[in-house]
Amino acid sequence: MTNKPLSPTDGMPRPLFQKILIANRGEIAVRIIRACQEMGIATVAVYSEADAEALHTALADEAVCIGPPPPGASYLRGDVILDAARRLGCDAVHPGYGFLAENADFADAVAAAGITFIGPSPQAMRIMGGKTSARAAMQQAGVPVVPGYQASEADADLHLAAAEIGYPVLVKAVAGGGGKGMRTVFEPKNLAAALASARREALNAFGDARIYLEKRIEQPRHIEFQILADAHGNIVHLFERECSVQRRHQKIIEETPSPFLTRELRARMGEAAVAAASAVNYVNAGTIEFLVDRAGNFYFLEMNTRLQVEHPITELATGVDLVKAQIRVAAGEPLPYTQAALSQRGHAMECRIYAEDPSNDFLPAIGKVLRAAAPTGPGVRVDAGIAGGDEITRHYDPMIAKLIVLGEDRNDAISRMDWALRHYVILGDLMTNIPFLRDIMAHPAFAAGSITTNFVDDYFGDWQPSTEEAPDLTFIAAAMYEILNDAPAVTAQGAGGASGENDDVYSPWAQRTGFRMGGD
Amino acid sequence: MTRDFTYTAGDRTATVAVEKQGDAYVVTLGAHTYRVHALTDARSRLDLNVDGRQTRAYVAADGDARYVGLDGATWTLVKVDPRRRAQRGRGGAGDSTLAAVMPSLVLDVLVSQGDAVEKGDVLVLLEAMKMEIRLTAPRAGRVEAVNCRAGEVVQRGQMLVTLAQPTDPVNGQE
Amino acid sequence: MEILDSRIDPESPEFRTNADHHRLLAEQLRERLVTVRAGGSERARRRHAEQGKLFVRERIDKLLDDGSPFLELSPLAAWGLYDNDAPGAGMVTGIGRVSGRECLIVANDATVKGGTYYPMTVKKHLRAQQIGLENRLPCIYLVDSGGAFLPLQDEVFPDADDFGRIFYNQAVMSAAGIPQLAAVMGSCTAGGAYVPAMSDEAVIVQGTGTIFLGGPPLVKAATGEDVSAEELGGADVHTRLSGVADHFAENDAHALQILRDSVAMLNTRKRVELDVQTPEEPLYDPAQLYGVAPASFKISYDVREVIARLTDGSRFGEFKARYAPTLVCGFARLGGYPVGIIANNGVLFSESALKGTHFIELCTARRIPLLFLQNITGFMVGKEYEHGGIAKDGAKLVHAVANARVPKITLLIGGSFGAGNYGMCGRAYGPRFLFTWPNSRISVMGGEQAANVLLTVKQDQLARQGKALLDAAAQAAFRQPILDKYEREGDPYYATARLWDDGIIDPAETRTVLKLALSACLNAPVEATNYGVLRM
Repeated sequence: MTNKPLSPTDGMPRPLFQKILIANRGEIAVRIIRACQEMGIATVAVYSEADAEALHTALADEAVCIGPPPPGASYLRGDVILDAARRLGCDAVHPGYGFLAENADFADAVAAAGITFIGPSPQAMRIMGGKTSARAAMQQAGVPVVPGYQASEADADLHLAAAEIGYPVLVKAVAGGGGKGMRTVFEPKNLAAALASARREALNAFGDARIYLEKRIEQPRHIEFQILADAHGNIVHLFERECSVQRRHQKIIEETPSPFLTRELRARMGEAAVAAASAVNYVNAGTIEFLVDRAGNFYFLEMNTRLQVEHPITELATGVDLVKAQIRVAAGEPLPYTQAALSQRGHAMECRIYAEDPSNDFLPAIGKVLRAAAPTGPGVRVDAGIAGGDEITRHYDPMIAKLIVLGEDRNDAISRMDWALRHYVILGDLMTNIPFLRDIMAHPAFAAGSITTNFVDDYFGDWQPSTEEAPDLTFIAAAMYEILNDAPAVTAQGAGGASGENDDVYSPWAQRTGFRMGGD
Repeated sequence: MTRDFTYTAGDRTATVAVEKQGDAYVVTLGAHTYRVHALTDARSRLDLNVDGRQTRAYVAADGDARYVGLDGATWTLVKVDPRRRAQRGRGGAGDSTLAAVMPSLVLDVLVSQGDAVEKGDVLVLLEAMKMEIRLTAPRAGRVEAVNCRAGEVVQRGQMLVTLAQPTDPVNGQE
Repeated sequence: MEILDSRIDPESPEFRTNADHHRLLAEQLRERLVTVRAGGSERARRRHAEQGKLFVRERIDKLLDDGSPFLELSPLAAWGLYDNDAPGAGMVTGIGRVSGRECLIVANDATVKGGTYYPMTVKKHLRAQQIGLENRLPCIYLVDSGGAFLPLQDEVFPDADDFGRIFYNQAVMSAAGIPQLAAVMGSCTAGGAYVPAMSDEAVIVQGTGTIFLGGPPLVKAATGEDVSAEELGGADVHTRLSGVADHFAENDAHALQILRDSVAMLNTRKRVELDVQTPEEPLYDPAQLYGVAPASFKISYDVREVIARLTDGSRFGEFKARYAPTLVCGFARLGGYPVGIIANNGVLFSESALKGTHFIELCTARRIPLLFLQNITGFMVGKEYEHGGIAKDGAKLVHAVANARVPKITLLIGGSFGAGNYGMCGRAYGPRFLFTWPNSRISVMGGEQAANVLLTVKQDQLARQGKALLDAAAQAAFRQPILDKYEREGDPYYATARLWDDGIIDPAETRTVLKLALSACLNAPVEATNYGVLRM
């Protein structure tokens, strides 16, 4: 590294890092590249063979192919990625979210290579990565946790514990996340079967069959707090994100502030979140997820030791650039703000645009995006990882983009989101959830803010797309497209119009076919 | 010159006839006629003024598929080549009765009354002028009557096989 | 215009059987074309190359515009004749584009018996010239020939359609404003010397090109003068002293470039006075033609299946579709050009002939070119038909075909027997082009019918003489040689060897060939037609 002395005439301060490798793909890789560009830091993208022409590959200063499309052969290959970082002289690695973001071994290896891992310490990752250790740490720190049982894996013990917690109970995978390996059991007689199938699924998904029990919170809301901590012991929270609208246990709409939280409850939860992070000496950005019941009781669910998909709503509502903050903190800078200096303004909302079929259990759709036109305008932000011509493949998460709006208040945010959804054009042979999202925006329960994690099941369980007939305008638009693009039209039923051409314009002799009788 | 485009969207099939008149287009769709001004970014964005109303549409093409983005909805249209639509109008006596075209010897009768036949199935084999002549079904249907036997000599114009009239129009309207 | 709806299933076993049969025939055709393309013996080819001369097909390739199609004519002339000593009759003829202009090319192949003229060579040369004349195509002669093949001089020299006709044609065409250009790229002896001499413009290649009425041996014999070929009639002599040639070329390539430059200054323009529309490919792959026609043309099939694989967009505006179904008539487009198609779909009846006559009247009135698809066993026979006057109705069709002045192109897709051949524009009826498929058969009647007719005559004769009639075995023995003869002489290679057609074509290439031929026809203005007296 060249330590060029800083001269007073230099307008820009020396970058915190010279070159950051982004160990991710899609919209988050694009988002991080953008932050680096603003900070004057060079970027290295890694890409699988399926992503050779992806947007993040194109945008980075340098790009390295790290293997075939399956994540296990590319984006999860920490060794290959680290080798690329070393080879290209990167001084930091940003893992984004997913893939290697919560892999403590990878963080260790990065650090061992003398490269900065932009994230928390591997130790904090390990504690928060295990459900058991996380629960223990939280209980120790006085953060409420969902009543549960994890002392034994024996079916007999689990049956007793379930009775004590009270049905319905959740069976969850110790190594789990994203709803995989999770079962809801309403009656004791179903527990044994649920345990068996949850174990099987957990083993398949995580290579770890261990499960535990948890009380099922009725009508729960999913509300999480954004944490930011520096290496100098300062921790702040950046308020909550209400993420209750979920399908298949994955968030699709997030907003802040939560229509549910009172000022008082927000303050208490914020304190708990800071306490939770402190308990593991957390550094960098992280998220404490809580389940909140109807009465306003909140329980620690888990901590995500990384940037969240839905981080932009926090950015819009607080004015903090979380990715830049992550980079600054990783470079050892102290947080430039105190808790008191932070506030929420307006109402931010995010919709995740997925290539999926909401009428068929949200099955991922694959296909080619022929043309994408994102809405732009005041208070509209689009974090997209695709461009027209990109393909949504079966290899990766089918999220096309995140559509984020900031409104004056919740109603304003909803109408702005509806406008933005209406103007998000994604054309191609793939389905998106845009019509579904628009229907949610228009739903009175959503407008009333009465959203729980059961919202989609309760109100949209049998959702079907509108079957209204294509209006004339669609046909007119298609025909005008042909005309303006000069597509050859078929003349009306045979030899209609007069050509008026008397020259031999279509002479077969003029075609350079090189025809010879009987081939060559 | 009028150019016709036919598309199918879901259950709806419609032909759009577009004729340029000055700087505008007169677009006829069924009973409606629209006056359209159109601008494009030469990729897929179309700014359409239809009878005075301004709309922005997006269209992308992939093979015969036309994806139309319009006011938050995406429609998939399939361009129909009118050439590929089945044609009618040919054939002898109403496409239902099959007659001998010349005096011939019936070599073989391959169907019986009540048989269901597919278009193109050989019904009767004839021989005349040293030629083997095949009487084939002009359409799918059921055999209503067979009026000849193998070994019989039939005269020109003699009805050999009658197909039942289709209960619902097979060819339908174009 | 109506689109033909194929009823054939390309997956059916029958289609596959047919396709195998016809593909095999096409394969045989291709092999034979390859054989002929090689030209003369290896020794002759070596000697040719050693002289620095290009081979005949190389010359044509260099003469033509880059990528130009070449519609070769009668490539299998003399096939099986002259002990197979004259592949292609020692000559390549065809149509190709030179400097943007469609031209007729006649090129000797000196590797075949020194490019000398066998009877079939003369016939091929004259046929090419006729095509040039009828279609007003500039004629380019690439001359490299020792003149008449002397052992067969009686069949080559004296008659009306013999050697002399070549120069007669040149004179007539030149007078008619059809340019005649020649490049002398080898010897050009005796009568051959008149080819460049009769041309409007002539090029001669230094070192190899010679023009003289009598070669050095003849001179020696006649006058005792000892002279080299170059001294006697080389490039230098003729471009500097005699003026027999106009341009001096350093080599073959140079000569061909000079010809291209000449064509570029012909100041002619192809005017197509037809309503031409944007061409479309057929909806059905023309290669499916292999599977459409039955392996035996004793089996009838719907000729519209063939039409559907030839016409633009598989469109066919059928005329009188419900009347006289054994003759299919209708309008279509081929490569954008309008064309009237007349196709056999069974035996011709009186009404078929009337329908065809009416349709030809339509086409000539509208100046639409005609395409005949021949697969005809003949006119219907029997008392009912004779009494109905089938002969006079057939005559009307023959009248119409004979006098139609629109371009006519004939394609034999099956049998061509008897008077059907006349009504369907056989060779004698002046089609601008006549091509055949490898499965076609042509004779005055089918072998079977001929054997039966002759057998009946024989039996009658025996009966009159009071002798015992032939028994079954004797009948078979009597019939067999007749069948064999018709089989041999009806073979399309027997026909094409004798220039009864302009070539056998691969069915899959039919559309390409027809488009090129039709377009070539349009170099001549479409004339108005007058009919004679039709018997009513």
